[in-house]
Amino acid sequence: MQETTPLDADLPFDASEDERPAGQWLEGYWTQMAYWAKRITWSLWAYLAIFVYSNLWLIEFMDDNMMAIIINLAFSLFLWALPLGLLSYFTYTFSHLLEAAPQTGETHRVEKAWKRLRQMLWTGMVIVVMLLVSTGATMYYTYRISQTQNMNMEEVIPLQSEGEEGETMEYDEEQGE
Amino acid sequence: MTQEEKPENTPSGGLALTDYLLERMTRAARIGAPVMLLSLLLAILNGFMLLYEFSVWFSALESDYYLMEGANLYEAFDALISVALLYLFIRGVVDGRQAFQYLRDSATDDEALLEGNARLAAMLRWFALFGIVFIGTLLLQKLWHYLMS
Repeated sequence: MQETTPLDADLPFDASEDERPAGQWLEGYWTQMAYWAKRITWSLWAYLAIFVYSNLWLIEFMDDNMMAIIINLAFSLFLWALPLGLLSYFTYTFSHLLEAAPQTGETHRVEKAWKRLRQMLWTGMVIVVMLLVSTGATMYYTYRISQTQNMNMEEVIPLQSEGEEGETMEYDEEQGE
Repeated sequence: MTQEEKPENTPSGGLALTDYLLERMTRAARIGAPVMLLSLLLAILNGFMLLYEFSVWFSALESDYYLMEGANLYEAFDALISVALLYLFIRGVVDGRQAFQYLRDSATDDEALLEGNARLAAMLRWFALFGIVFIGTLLLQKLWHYLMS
């Protein structure tokens, strides 16, 4: 086999006999991935803890409006915390498998890690779509509110006391009738 | 360490590049590319929202502005952090998009395989930094509200 790429350089490798070794560079990148994926997992866990605590705090007001709070909790915990929890689980297993693979030399761990990455990306897509819907709704309502404010500023309706004397008199006469 | 600084790519941990692994990478790249596109759209929309918030903030500014007065310090800090978070997120998305473009050809192109893995590591680094800054800001905001209440 010709040495055409850095991956093939100086490797004692025969394609007809065995599989290619991944080499130092790829293993280095996988170690970096494991390191940073673990930090992402910690961030996700911290966010989930803050989020769940903030929502469970609503239970204090359960007596006032029980149904509203149960619906709020169900929506926030299942629609938002569940995908985030899944993402944190996949990220954790991805980092754990990639971290262990170079130490044990088991290629099947790397293969499993890449399977986890794919699951991470699917979950990430669900979260990104939800965030897009949320951002779109926020933009729409912000636009609506700003339009209403602009309309109110353009059409300045004078107070009754600020109107002309005649108009006020006429109003008073009508009221009197 | 960059590729140029390394003298050679020698085998170390005994890990192999199996066909199954390369197929996994290609399959991950297929779903990764649209996720990064949607994330880029999300970043752009949030960038517009941030610009709108800045315009409202600047229009409300008075001529004699003091940073330590009222909630001005909090607002300035919030604006800076929002810009920093957007920057970190966009860097992650850009690296991720390039990574998945390279990884799509990783089964047949060794350069693409190496470059894709390098970019993927970079993407995870930017997203981790984003997460750390985001959580730090969230905790600082909670502390601020606790102290001010």
